[in-house]
Amino acid sequence: MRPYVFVIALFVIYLVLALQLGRVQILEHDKYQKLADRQHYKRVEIPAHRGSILDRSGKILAHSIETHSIYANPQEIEDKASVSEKLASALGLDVSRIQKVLDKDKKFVWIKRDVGKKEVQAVEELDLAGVDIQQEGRRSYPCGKLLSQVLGFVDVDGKGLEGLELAFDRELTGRPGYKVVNRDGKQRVIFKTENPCIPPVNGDNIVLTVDLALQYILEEELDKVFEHRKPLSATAIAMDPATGEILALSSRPTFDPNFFTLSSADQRRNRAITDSYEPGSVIKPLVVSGVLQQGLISSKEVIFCHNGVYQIGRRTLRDVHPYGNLTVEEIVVNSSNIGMSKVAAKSGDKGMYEALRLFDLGRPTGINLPGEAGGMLRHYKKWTSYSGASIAMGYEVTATPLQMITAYCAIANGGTLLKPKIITATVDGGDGATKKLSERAPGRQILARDVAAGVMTPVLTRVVDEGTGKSAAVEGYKVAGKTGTAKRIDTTAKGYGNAGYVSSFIGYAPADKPRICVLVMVNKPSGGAYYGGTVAAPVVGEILRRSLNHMESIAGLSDGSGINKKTI
Amino acid sequence: MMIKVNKHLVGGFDWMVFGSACGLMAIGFFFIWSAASQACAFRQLVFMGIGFGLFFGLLVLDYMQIVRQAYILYIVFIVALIAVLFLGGTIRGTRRWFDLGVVNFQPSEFIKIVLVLALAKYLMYKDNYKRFSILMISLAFAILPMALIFMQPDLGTGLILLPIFFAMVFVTGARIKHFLLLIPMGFVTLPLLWFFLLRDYQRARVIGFLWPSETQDWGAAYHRLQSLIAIGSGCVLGQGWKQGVQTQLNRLPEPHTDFVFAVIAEEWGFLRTFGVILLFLAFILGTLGIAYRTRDPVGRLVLIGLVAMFTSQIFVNMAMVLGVAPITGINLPFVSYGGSSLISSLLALSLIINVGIRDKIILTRRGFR
Repeated sequence: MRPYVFVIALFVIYLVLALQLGRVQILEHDKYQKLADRQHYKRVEIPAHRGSILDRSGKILAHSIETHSIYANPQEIEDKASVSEKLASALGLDVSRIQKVLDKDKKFVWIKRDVGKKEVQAVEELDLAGVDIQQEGRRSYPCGKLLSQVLGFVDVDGKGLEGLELAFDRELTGRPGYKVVNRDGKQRVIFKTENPCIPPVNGDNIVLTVDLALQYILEEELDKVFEHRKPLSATAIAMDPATGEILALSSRPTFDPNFFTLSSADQRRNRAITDSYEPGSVIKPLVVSGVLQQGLISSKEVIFCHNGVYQIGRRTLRDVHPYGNLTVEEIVVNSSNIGMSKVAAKSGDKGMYEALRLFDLGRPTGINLPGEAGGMLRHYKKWTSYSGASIAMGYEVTATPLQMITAYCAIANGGTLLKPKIITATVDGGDGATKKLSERAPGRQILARDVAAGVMTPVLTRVVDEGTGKSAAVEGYKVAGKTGTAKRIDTTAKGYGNAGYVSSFIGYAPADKPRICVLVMVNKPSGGAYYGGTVAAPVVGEILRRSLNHMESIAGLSDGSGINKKTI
Repeated sequence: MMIKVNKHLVGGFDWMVFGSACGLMAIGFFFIWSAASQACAFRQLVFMGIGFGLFFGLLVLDYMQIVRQAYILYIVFIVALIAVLFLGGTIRGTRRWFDLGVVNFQPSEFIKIVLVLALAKYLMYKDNYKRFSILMISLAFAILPMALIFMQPDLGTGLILLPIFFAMVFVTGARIKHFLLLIPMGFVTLPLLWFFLLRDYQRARVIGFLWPSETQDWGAAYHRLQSLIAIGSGCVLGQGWKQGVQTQLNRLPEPHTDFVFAVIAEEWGFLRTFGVILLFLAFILGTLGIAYRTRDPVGRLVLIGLVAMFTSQIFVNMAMVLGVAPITGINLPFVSYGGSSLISSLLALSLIINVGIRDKIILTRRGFR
């Protein structure tokens, strides 16, 4: 009897085992398969390479360098103390700091970003569970401060924060890919080629209109004036009047995007587009060409300038030098405030308003940069009886430096208002195809050729030849331009007290066939000199001279007019 | 090596038992290869070679000659068990084995067989097997090595000795009421065992198994889950040899020794793994068949002891792998990697075959079937 008990017990034992095997393998298969997949497969992002920013000839202004960062999943680390110690010695960090980071109740923490090859190797050799290495791109700006306010910068995660890096963040970033990796019992990652893998689409490269050489010239001259005049700020822009392409652009104070954390918002500000100023006398050619275009006045019309003192209502206008009878052209050449106020009176508020609206003042230019201001031009119905005269002299109206140079380019190129461009093309990060960014609006003819090239350019040439802008002259070239000296609004005294001046000059050359237009604006120069003709005009002249020399030497062009081909 | 074996002996050779054991060893070889490495599998092959040498060597002797030396063997291995506590090599805080170069010699693997032989020798002369004192002395035979193994500490292997004792005294015909007397004794010794012999990690494992939500031993709960995931993802047909994701990503604890059954289940699937269970059943039923055929009560007693030993090992191991028993360091006979375990299994196999080929008539007392 007893042996049978034995045999029965045996069968029961094997039945139990077989049933349990069947239950786990067949009935509960789905449940365990799900658990298996969850722990075996992990989606890992493959970062896309961030696109570069290049100047018009392909020189690198911003690019991403491959680097590595160390991260950890604290939930997968058992002995946090020993892991902290090992990592600390491998990475040269403080043990307690790592310990603190690992004690967080998170699944992902950075241990150290942007580490060197030796550190990567050291961490690889430690082979710690829950600690991993992520490939990343570190942004580098090889030209340092050059063009920094335009380029902007990215945060530590590679996300654009300012400038072009922000404006074109989506294009530059590309699309990250991913791969599915297997994770073994020690949480080490094993990649098998048969696992699904979607390669990343790298970010586009962006090709700028900026010419690095001209940018260098412009910034060097800007540095000089900033050093010499010690102003609050200074801005310079160089533009191609024929296309609206920005060739160079910068402001002072400035910063180095490689160390953007050390900079202040003041340094990072792209003043050429974000700050509006009352332009002062540089607005006079715009007013005059606008009213000429509307036929409200003739360029040869003679206007009496009251010998330097003129009363409008309760206000007294003064000219720097007293003038008697001047033609409209001569009013611009001599920058007579009294003359301009009478031009304004003749044109009427509506005519004045329409004249400046021709140049799109009061509206952003729509350039591809973040934070552009549009300036201010109030509707003429809101003007006071003094407004016409004020606006004719460049007050009660504000514009950004970019708006002003864009307007001057319209005069320079014979009357076409172009949309300023900073980007010429994007190069696809995937297939390398270059996509030209053609201007949707090719430009708007706002002035007749007769007005722009026939009247205004000769007038502006006379400004440099015989008027206030003599120091902008460049040997061998005809330069056209206009000075501006605007009183700054005293925000504390509510009016134009002793808050200093904004000295500016906008000029282009060669006057008859302009290749480059340059604006320099110096905000509150100190040390006595403040006239645009003294402070800004020589800087424009120097930038024009060096830039034209450079362009000539590059193009190998020579018109045989005995130009001094000094190298920059 | 030529061994003179007469035809009479060859005739009694039980091919079902031998064949199923060989099949299990072959399966073990391939899954050790899959779970660990080819080198590991070939080392197992070397152990098989040594084991088969001893297997055939032992067949030359009549098993009765071996049983007669059982007490001496028992003393030798008790001494070895004491010595290993002081001189043994250490694996994860336990002292279980002597390093003999080629193979680690683990006395606890052999004491199981020696206990079977010693109990057979002790019980075969006792006419008064129905006395309680005989039961207690038999129990003492088991308790002494058990305590020594517990001290290594190795809870699982030690506990295997109890079913051997129970099965052997049960078939000898001990009184049921004497067995029942053992129950209160067990209740007295259990707390002693719990508080004095068990280490913290062992207590944690038992608690972790009985009350999974209370466990502090995440390691044990993790291993149990990993084993179930491996088996569960095997499904009906398996993922293929060397294709088991769970196995190949090293998720299993001890995949080539204690958890080799989970590897088989994952890579071979339910149908073939069920076949493995049937092979074990064939091996055990074949052994019981020899026990049934033999006319020698001592041989039968030896076989019953060995059946109890194998069955309890197979059950404890598979139940552990299948998540229905706590994790103890019991491996799967013939299949798991390990020199001492494989060689001791082959020695046990040798004894089984030995009883089968030396079938003899012995006048026995009544009731000793």
